[in-house]
Amino acid sequence: MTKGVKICLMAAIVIFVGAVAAMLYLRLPSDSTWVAITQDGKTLYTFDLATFDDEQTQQIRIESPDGGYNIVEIDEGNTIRISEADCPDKTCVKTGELSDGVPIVCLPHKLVIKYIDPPQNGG
Amino acid sequence: MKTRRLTELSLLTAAALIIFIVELRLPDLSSIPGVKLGLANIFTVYAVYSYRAREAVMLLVTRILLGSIFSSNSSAIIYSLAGGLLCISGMLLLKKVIPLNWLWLCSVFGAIFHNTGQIAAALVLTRSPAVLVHYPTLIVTGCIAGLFTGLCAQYVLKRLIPVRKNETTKEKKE
Repeated sequence: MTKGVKICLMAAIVIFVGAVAAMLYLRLPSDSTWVAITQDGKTLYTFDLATFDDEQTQQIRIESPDGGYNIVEIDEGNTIRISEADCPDKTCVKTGELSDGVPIVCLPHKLVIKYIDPPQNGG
Repeated sequence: MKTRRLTELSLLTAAALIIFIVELRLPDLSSIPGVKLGLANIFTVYAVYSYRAREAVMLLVTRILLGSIFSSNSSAIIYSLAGGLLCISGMLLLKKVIPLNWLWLCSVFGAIFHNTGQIAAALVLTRSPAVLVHYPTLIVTGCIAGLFTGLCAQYVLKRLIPVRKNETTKEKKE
């Protein structure tokens, strides 16, 4: 085992362990109820999920500038998810409801739904 | 380029494409885009260690271009190219430090570079730092997948080297 290999092996182990730690940290459930929906870097909506009616579902249709759409649904129990999209991969729909630090991302439509810190002075 | 070398590279590209297409048919391992085994990378790592840099890059680019045409997924091509090119440049450099016996380590780094390239492309395209949250997961799964594909390439190469040596000595005698 040469010196070069040793350094590379150490570097690989450090990167791997670091990534595992970062992954676990991001999986912690969010304690915020505020959610932001952004498209192509611009914020479209920010709202507090706790203010929605527990018994009802509400849908928001978001058109993409290049012609597609996503339907964002706020369900009973105030969870948010993308219920429908016309993108080819449907990754955002498969992601399910937003539950932790990992946002829902629709790459083809550049749409991101994530928890944010509650705004100051009531927003 | 000698006809023999060209034929070898074409065959390798074809085999890599077949594995790539077969892997597409497997169900997604995770909801996070980009989490996959990357079996076609066995051929990339193999080419890095047994061909010239130019030839390995050619094999990879041909496989990515044809692969995205055959899978009719043109939006993935930017991610594949960004990841693939960063991956192969990194591995070509590391090849100078890492000997054949540690090929799997080079492959693990290849996977890290690949995912870094993909995330960078996603950052540029979506202009949303939110895609970074997938980065740690991609690195972890990428390391495991890279270890697996690297070991595959290593075992194949170790068995092929004696065969190839025999062939070249035969050619010289003739």
